[in-house]
Amino acid sequence: MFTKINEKIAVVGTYNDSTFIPKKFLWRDRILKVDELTFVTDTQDGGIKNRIYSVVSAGNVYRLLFNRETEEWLIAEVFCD
Amino acid sequence: MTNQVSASAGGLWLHVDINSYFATLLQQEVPSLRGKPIAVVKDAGRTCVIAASKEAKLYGVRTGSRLHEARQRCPEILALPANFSQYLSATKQLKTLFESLAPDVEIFSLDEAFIWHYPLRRLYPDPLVFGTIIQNRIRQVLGSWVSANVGIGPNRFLAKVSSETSPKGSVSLVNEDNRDALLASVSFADVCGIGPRLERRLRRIGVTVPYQLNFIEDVVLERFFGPYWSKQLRKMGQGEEPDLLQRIDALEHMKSVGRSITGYHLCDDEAIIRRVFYNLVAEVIYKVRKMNLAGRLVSVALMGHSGLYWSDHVTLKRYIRHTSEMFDIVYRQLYRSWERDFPIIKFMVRLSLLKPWDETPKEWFPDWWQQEKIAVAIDKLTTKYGLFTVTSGVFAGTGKEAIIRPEVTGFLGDKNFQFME
Repeated sequence: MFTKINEKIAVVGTYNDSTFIPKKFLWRDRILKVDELTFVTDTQDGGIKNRIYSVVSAGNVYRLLFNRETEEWLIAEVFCD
Repeated sequence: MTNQVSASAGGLWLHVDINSYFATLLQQEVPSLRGKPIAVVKDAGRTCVIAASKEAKLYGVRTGSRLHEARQRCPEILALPANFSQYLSATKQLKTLFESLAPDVEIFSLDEAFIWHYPLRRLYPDPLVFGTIIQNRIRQVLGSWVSANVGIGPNRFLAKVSSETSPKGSVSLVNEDNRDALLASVSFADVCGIGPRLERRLRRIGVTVPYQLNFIEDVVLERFFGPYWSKQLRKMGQGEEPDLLQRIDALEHMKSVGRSITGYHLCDDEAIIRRVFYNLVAEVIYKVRKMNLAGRLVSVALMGHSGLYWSDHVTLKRYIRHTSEMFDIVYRQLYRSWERDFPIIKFMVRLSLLKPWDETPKEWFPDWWQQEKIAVAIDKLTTKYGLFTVTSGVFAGTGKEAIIRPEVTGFLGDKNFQFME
């Protein structure tokens, strides 16, 4: 089940055919490498548009939330077995 | 009409059905869940299985199973909460994909679509090849774990029956040669539009597969099933398309908007009951206003334990489109006039007889226009900051968690709203 974290992070990635692919993120002074991008979810509540990147890093699945209005990144959730 | 004419000239429909949609998307997102039996429940603590993974289905776990039954059948099954935002987002990606492949696409539910092959007959002369292309593109868009069945037939009914009865991940074609065999082998549980009650009534006259209907006279069918269903069943027996599959997306606007919620436990607290009613009404009105509609039939239904049920409705002479108007009717006029004699587990509200607001008679009362001004101001804030950013004092003292948020349903009954630009 996913557990909420909601902490600010920094993300770096590449653009492939105009699509952003996250490659690494900085969380609690640690750099985590993205091994796989498994899903992308777009959500919208009113004018607030978010894009959630589900990524695998060192065997864990994280949901990285990008607020498309403020351009801020959050580590929203982590999957715990 | 064009499609029907072309169908007689040999046009085909493709029915695309993503396998075990909710569970498959979760397995795509979380690779460690792939190959494991999963039961998707609405939320943590819920006990009704709303979707089962391919692996769980092998143990006999089905949509609608209770979690304890699922655990008896498959002790290692994992129960995980649904993620409705993810499903809707994936469906929108599928819609974009299908519309990039074909000019005539009907999204039938969250995980199903019909694609008309006729305009593509020169580009993809072999529909089976086109079906395989669709499957590959779905994997590219949603991920390698996401598989789909593609059924192909001369109408939507046969295409859907074919995809739903074929092995997972297959492309199947129904034609003159195998149509009768398919109709003679498919159980009514796999036939769109046949619910458990109708299935039981059919079984009572010895009919278990559609093909058997061809051996029953019209008068007998009409006596048992009435004028509407006798005609629909006759069409199904002959492999023709029943009315319920005909261009449901061709509606100019939605005819009704409803919302229901099942609680975690029976509710006897009047303050909570009032808050839930307000919450559901606010969501209904939000959708109605966004589609620029107004309605005049208000209904409410409540369920308790062991099948206890109460419902009421009122048809108004005027059209309404304000939360306060509908809440007054639902809560004060209908609910409060009933002497509640059971605690509630499920709440349902609905606004029907919807019509575009521009076509309804306009109100004369200044008070109403004052309310409209407030509603327009709230609409602007909602559009910018999200639903329930501004809301009633009934939520005072409760946290954000107390608010029931909108969610999609598997059959995507509010597709006109969800696919609004």
